Amino acid sequence: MQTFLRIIGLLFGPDGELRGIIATTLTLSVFSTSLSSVIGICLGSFLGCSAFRGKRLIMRVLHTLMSMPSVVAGLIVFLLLSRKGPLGQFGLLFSMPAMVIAQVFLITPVMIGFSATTVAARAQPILETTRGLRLGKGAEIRLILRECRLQLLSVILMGFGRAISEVGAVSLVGGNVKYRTRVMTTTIMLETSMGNFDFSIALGILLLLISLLINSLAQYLQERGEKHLRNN
Amino acid sequence: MRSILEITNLVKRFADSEILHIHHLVFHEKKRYAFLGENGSGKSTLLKILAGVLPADSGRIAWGAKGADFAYIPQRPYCFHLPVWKSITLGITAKNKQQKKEIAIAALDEVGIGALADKAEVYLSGGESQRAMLARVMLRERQALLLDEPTSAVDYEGCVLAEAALNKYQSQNGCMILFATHSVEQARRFADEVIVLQNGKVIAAGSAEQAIHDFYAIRTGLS
Repeated sequence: MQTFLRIIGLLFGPDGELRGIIATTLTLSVFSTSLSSVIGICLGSFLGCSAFRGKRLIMRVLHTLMSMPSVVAGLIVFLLLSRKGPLGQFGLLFSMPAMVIAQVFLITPVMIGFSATTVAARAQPILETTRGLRLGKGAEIRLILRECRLQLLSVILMGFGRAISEVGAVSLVGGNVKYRTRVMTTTIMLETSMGNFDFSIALGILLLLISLLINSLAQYLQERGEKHLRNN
Repeated sequence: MRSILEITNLVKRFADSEILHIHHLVFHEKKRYAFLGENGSGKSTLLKILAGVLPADSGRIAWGAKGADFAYIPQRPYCFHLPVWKSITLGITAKNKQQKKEIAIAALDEVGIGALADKAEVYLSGGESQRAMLARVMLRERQALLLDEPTSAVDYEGCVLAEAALNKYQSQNGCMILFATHSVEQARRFADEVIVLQNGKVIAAGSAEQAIHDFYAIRTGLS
């Protein structure tokens, strides 16, 4: 109860730090998930629909990247963006764009891999049917994405889950700068190391509540879609 | 009678084994051809190759003057998460929504499932979905229909309706119908010519009665 009251107090109190941390976390997660979704679903759909020489090798590399530790992703992006790195001239290190890049780097392989598996499971019968009607490439792609949309929504949610809970990459390239790049996970790490367990627990609960809210919304949309079809 | 399709030395291999080898077949307009054969005889593979879904390893497929102007129904067609009327009018762009729905219902009525026009296609039974697929191809003006076991899950009454609808469609546009079936009865009833396949090769071909007679003779070992 005390923890709950503390959360309420921090959320609606005069100090806007927690609200700022939540806003940064959500902005970061939404941006990186959106970018990863566009790249991941496009490339994943292409991989799922097509057969070509070298596809198995690409899938193997992709599966390896899917299990890439977040600190490794953070380290690679850190080296790319650091002053002496190839992208150092842009001065992005310890900024929100750097954190987005790191998360996109981390999440996109997961999005591609799961999108490819999802699309591959349905593409063959859909393509047989659409090619039999000679509908054209554009219509084929639209229909495949439409038919897989509920599964792809789950893939996006999974990506969002990975983004919002990620700590290694964002702390490396974001630097956990107060009011700028401090997010919920890095704050939990910091507060725990300083012995502020109450605050850490409060943030942990809040993080879970946000995830619960977003997942509930997605589940509601999925169920409404299914129900709409069943009632027709 | 004009030829619509000619197949010469068509070969398909899986791994190292030859699963289809058709030396020469010619198909003409306004005629109905049945591919008859057991499971794995190559009927579906041949139809998939003709529809461009599967590539052939070698051989020649020559379509007539209009080119590859066909509609194809696979053995296991995909049922979309769309109302049946929308699904069967996919790709038809020349009409507005109301007109599309009207022509869809008319086509579905022909095969006896007009009442299911608003139901989601994915929730149709096997027989109902096969009838919807037939309605879908009959909404298009094509010079050839390639149908892979189009009524295998349809009851007898539905079969009669579907065949009558195909009859009407063919008499209106003079297309060629090529269908695969396991049913000797359907081949006898609906086809002008029957091509019997076994292990990927044509073992009998000709008028329905003659080819079916040859088919039984080969199966029973009688000359």
